[in-house]
Amino acid sequence: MIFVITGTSRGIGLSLAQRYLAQGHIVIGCSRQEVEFSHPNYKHFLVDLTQEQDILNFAKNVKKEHPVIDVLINNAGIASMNHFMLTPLETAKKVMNTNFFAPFAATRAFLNCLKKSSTPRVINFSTVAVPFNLDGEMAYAASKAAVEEMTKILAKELASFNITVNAIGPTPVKTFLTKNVPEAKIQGLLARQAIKRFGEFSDIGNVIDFYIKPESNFITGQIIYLGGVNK
Amino acid sequence: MKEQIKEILKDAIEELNEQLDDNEKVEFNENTRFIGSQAALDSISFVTLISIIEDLLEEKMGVTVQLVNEKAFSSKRSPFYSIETMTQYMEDLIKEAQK
Repeated sequence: MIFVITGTSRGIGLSLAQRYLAQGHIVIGCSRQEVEFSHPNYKHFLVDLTQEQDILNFAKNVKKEHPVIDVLINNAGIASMNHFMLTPLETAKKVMNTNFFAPFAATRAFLNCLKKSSTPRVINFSTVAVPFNLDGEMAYAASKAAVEEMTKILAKELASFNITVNAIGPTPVKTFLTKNVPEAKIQGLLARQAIKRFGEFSDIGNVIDFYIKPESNFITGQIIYLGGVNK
Repeated sequence: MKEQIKEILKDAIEELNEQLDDNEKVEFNENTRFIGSQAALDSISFVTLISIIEDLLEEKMGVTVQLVNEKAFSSKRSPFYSIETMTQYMEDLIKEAQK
């Protein structure tokens, strides 16, 4: 299969790129920085996902070599973990740009490539901060709530193209995104999960493996949270 | 350029028609309406048509444009009204993209 994964320079995106390369798939990734690995089946593009034209150029360049894309994983995201009163409007806009508008624009840009696949999949990223209504992460959680709604509505609107659209809501995973969250806060979050541990990259990969299976063509508009978290 | 765009529109409608039932097929002529009460196609078919046109523009003219944008919605008269209005609109968009 051919994957497009956004935000592959580090964290979850990097682990997913390596996971699907190891399984023998072709992966096209992007980020604002170069990646520190290479693989014969991997191609990297430098893309600023907050710029629509950058996304359109990215899709145009990908299409030249791969007119058909099977899986689009809208992974790239940024966090803003602060009290509302300590969150400047500009920060909230940046979070929304990367976490909501970028997957919106990327899904649109790659739609024609996805339509040509026999098992087209769009995978978005939410977070347990949404069902937790997590104080101190309002801009981040609100942007991911928007992603959830987008996932559910796109599932309906793209069903006629046989494209399934699903999301995963990870618990805290040890990445750059959570490294600045105070330890006590992280422990408090883990305590609210049914299974009280950090998420691993493989937990996320496992859910995505399920979504992309050909047999999962009847699974769409779903949000799966890790760790036994529910809305 | 207009003739080339009209050819693309024609091809796009043919491609769309392959996916439609006989009683839903869209004719390619000056009276065909794409939106409004006289529209020849439903909203899903319209979305499919837009996506086919974008694909063909890229494939045949090497130009990447998004047909549905702010400009399309802010115009007093929708550019998606007829073959003529769509051709003119697409020509403007392509010229802008090629600047």
